[in-house]
Amino acid sequence: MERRRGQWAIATVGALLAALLVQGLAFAAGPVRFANGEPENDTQLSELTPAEAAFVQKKLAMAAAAATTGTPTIRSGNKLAPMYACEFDPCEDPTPPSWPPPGGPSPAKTLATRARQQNNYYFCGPASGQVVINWTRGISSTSTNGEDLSTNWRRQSKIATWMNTTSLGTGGASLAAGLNNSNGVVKPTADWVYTYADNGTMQAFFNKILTDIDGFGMPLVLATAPHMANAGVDYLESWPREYPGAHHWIVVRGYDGLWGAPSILIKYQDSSAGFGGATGSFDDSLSVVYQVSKANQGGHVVW
Amino acid sequence: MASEIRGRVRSAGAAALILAATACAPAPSPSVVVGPTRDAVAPSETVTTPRPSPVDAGSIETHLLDAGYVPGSALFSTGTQIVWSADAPSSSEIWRYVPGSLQPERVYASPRAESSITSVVGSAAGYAFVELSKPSFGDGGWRVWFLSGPGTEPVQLAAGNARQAGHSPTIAMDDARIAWAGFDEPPGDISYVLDHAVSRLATASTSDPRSITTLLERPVREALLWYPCLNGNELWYGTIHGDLDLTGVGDEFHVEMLDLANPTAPPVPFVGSGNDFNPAVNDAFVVWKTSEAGDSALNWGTLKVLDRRTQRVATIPTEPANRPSIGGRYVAFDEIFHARLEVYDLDAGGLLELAPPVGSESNLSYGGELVHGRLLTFFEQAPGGGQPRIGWAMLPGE
Repeated sequence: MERRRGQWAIATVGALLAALLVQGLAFAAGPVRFANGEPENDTQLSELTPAEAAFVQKKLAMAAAAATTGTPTIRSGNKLAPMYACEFDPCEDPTPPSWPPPGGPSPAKTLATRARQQNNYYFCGPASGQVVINWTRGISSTSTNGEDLSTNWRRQSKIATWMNTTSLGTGGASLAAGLNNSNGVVKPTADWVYTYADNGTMQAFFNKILTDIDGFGMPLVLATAPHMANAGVDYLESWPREYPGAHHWIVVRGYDGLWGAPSILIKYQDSSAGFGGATGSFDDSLSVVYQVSKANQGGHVVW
Repeated sequence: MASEIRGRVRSAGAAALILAATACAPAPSPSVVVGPTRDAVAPSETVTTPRPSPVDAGSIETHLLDAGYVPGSALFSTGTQIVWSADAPSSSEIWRYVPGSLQPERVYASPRAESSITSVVGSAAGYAFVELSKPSFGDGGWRVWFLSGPGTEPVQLAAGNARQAGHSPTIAMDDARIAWAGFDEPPGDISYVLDHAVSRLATASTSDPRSITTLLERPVREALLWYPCLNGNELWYGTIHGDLDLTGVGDEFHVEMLDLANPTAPPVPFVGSGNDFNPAVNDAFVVWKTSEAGDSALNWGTLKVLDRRTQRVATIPTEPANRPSIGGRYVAFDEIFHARLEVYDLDAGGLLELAPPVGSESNLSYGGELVHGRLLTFFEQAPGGGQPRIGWAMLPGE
């Protein structure tokens, strides 16, 4: 119980009608409907340059190394990662840590990202990207308004153009490309790149989260089917009602527990108040988060 | 065979009950009834009732309905029967199972296209449910219905539109009343909708369901009303003051109570523990979910219990939890890992685990736990996204 204290950040489930205020975009989008921010059959993964492919291989190696506590560090010459058990401020230490450290990865870490309200039913991708970009740009405003330039690095609608977002939503590879825009994220390392990839097994999925959050201090963006029919326990807590057709992006910002522990929490932020879900910070078990992603076209993540 | 018995009967040695067997339901008046606020109550009285022995969890049988009865998201225990929404692709039907009977039976099948029953509750007086149907009610349109029994025609209690809110009404029911909290938005341009949408709390009598009493009607800028809970003449509910202007200050939410015997009396705020939501109440206890500042009202939280006789507050020692319900002696709830099927024993002051944690034996998931009286119901689900099955157990007690 103690471990979650102080880690749950802003919440705006009460902003049920908040999207109405966002410069009329909700209205301009046409009939209001549940969030549906990813096209059908979005299985075209990112096409990588050789350098990007090499970086992905490096991350995969880090993820694999994280599976074994106490493995040697992958990179050398950098400082060890502190054992954060609370929110992490990237401005405190811009130097990418060597990871995983000899003592193993942090048992829990949550990035202090700030949730944003999506402008319309198909803008969950840009809203999620905005959360990630703001985080790397050191923007800490808790205002959930995605169109206010005084509280965001770029307007959500601008990020949507980087991501080629249409009324069909945002494809995963395009979402990654938008994050990689030169005005997008501040890269934690020179070779950093976001890519759209398969989740893999639940352990591989968790290792991706662990690597990005603990190794690089970078959030992930996850494609989900937030609440399918007959879902049983497998639905996002931010989506209390069934929406069988919804494809929805969320920001994965933290974890609590390492693989092999009896239970692992995943911490995420949602943007969908007024479109079937809620906006703010939520937690769910790794199992649930993995299943809601798997139920969405097999399970993909931008990491 | 409609149900499958799991576990073994070891003894029938249930400890004596102190409480009346109610959960947001009619109950005998207790000898000591305290107000909902700590500030308002009389000084604590010394309760000398000896704490009963913990119940042996192994003595409790858990049962599963046939796997063919796949539930939708609505599952409820009336205390004597289990009620749920079902059918694919949307949950357009209501089913029930009375423990001891051979088979579940269908109570209602909506004739409306694209019907989705998002909540269903029941009591000895019948059933109430919330239904969405875009073709029939429009985009965002909702209805609250009362159904006196299987095969009868439902009576419409309320209608509204929550197109922008995206959340359908939440409801409660006991033998005497049905209560609901819903959002209602008028047509019009954006600013008009935001300035004129309301959150409404209302009740209807089960004996005269066409007699509707609107208890509260607040602009959404002022309050968002959720999760009504009936306990005799008390109507408890959660209320959110939302950060609708997206300023970043976050939401404020707490629990309030209305005295239905004195409908002109203003709501009484429950002091609670700050950031409180999801009340579950009987005459002796108030259970609620509390969150740290900044948390979402819908997110998992810590469950608290106020003993209304002693004013003592206890914390239910479980993982982050949600959606508490209260029976005669036990509190049921969802826990975040869905790893345990457990209830909180109000009399013994501890958890009673009815099924092993994930990884120890079964690796099954549990969710949707809800207790009323002695009847607990829940989902059980195999790992890997399997379809949920409906489970139930009759908890010890009188």
